[in-house]
Amino acid sequence: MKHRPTAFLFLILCIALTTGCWDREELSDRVFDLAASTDLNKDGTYLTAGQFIIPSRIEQSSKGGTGGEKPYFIETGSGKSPLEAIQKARQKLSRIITRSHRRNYYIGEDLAKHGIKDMLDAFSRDPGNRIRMDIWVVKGNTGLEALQVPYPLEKVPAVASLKIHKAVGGTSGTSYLDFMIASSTEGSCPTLPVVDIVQGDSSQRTIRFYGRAIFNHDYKLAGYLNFVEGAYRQWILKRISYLDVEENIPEAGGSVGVIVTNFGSKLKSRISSENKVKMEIELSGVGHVSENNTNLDLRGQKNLKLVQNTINKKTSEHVLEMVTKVQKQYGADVLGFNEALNRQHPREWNKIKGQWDTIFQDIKVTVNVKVNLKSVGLVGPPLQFKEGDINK
Amino acid sequence: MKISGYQLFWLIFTMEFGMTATYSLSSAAFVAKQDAWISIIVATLICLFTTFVAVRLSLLYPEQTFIQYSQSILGKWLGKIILVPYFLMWVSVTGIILREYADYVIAALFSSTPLWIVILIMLGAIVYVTYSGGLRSISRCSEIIGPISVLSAILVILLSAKDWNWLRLLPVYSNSGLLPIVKGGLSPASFLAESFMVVMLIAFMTKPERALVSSLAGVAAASFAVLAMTLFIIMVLGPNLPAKFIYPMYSVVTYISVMEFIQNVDVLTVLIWIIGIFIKASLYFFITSYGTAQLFHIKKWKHTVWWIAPVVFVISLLPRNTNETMNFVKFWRDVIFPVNLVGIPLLLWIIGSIRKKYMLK
Repeated sequence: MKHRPTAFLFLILCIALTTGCWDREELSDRVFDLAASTDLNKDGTYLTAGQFIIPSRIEQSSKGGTGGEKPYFIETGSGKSPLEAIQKARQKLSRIITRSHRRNYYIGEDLAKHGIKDMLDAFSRDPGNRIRMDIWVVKGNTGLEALQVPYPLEKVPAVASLKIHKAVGGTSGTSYLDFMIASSTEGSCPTLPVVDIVQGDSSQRTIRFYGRAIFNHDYKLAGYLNFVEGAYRQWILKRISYLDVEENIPEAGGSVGVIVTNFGSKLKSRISSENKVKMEIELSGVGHVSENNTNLDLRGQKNLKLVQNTINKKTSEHVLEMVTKVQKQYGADVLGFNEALNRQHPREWNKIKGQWDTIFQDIKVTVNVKVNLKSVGLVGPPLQFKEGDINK
Repeated sequence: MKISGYQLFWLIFTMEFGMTATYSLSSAAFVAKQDAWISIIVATLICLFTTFVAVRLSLLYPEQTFIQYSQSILGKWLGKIILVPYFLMWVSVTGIILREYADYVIAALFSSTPLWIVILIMLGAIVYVTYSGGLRSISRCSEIIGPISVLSAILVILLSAKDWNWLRLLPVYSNSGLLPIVKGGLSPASFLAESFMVVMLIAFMTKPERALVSSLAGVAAASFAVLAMTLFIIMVLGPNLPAKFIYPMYSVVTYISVMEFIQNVDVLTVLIWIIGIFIKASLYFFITSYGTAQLFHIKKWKHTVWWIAPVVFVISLLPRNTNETMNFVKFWRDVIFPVNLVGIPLLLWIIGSIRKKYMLK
């Protein structure tokens, strides 16, 4: 027990050394960026920009006062590499950049076409970054432009694209990691979500979730899938939670709209001895009718079957069109076919994986959508029809 | 200084889980891809065997530590010579563990704190726990904080559940093969085989007959926890990425986001890691101090603490960068693991058993 005084001294020393920061980096010395962007300048250098929060104005706007002042500002820098560009931006910042809250990263279309190989590494190497984040391609515009577009619903506009993506049934925060997993997998091509900037009905421009960008093996932009095509692709990968499907029913002279949830997907591959691959895509889901512009009374089992079969048949055709477009136009496997084949025919896969890019284009695909209509909503036939017009 | 079987279990579990899960998974995934979890099972089997050998060896002389019975088995001089690699291993590994700890903490938390401060604080805690009560204090610590690391591990796994993709585990076997799977198992095995240190601990047990069950259960539980971590890392990161991360467990936990609300829980992995480091480094430190005292017949073993602490501190500062620390991990796997943790114990056990039988006759 005679060591007690020494022990106490030691403990006090521990408190002094371990509980504080070694070098003072208080909140007032940090600046948080919620979104950043990189573009390609005309001279081949990189232009990066960040959307930084102004803490004092965030407080103001939450108190209800509009103030008219934005709670963020944008700072840019140019350089030979993304890091050098950030360094240039830091020359204008009085605080240290903290990235752990960054959720969105925008890439201009020019840079995406040029290739984004040089800028991917830092996202996972620097421990200040989170690997849970979304990288967006800005279609037909620059990343800086995407940062500058104001968005009325969110305090900081950068949050908008992520929230839109989630609200329309997509995923959030996974696109960087998905990109890396796809790039490192034999045969797969990576993808990123896409936004574009549109002129709304009001005078203001706004940001819009566009779809999906397909990259080739050199990390260069190969092309786009629009919103619906992108959703079909996500359905095949079981990465979607909500989708509206509207199809025309020619027998009933109108269209029926369905909300699909509970998505399922099965890929069945077959490979012949001449390395001819066949892929059967089976997509399932639960549908709820949300719009009925026909004269059908959907309470009748026959009518519901008709609607269901027509929707399934037409959606199957549309999905197949998307798959064919990916195969023939882009020639990039972003549909997980390689993984399905690897899982289901591992031995054959080991033989053909080197030539997958050519084999992929000639895969014979069949699509079978099986949406099961579970409910017809609150009314049977549309209310406005007279008794005699309704097809029971 | 007496410990119970229950305490031995927690000692082994705590010191094995944290470091194996943080350090060995990257190299396991490097060769075995999505079959790294099979590698972990292979490693478990290897280490259950080495632990079995170590315990049976100690139970030949349940009252003595490794220092004493190696001399009983091989004779005075040969017994002492064979201890040399062990002392080198114990001193160096304590220093390297401290350095690995500091590298990790600096990477994950404090980027500009000087290295030696981080090391010195941990070393202070280790010296304190060893000096104040020796093995008894360390085992009590592990009894209390070991379950905390289990809880953190369970929490991490539950929070990540929605990011699991079972398909990423497929296809089993065909993308790697037998040789890569076994090769991938070597790195985790070299960590799990550190349960060899029971040879110094069994002499302190109140009931040595419980040593076998406790040690094997400790190794099995730690392996199971590592297996769960491996599965979860592959299910989130896929087959190719885990090998590229230096600390895959840490990086994958930064990815967790539950309902956009529970985020940045990477501190949990730091907790698991620090708990594991503390118990493991303390145990090695105690073993080195106590062993030195026994070897040189120093009456008060605690006095050796003041000689060994500076040596350990200097060793921890020797590696010039993180890659050199990693080289020690490779050296451990390729040289120390087969020689010190498998070869010599097996040899001693065989010679000891024959000798005992012969003596009885």
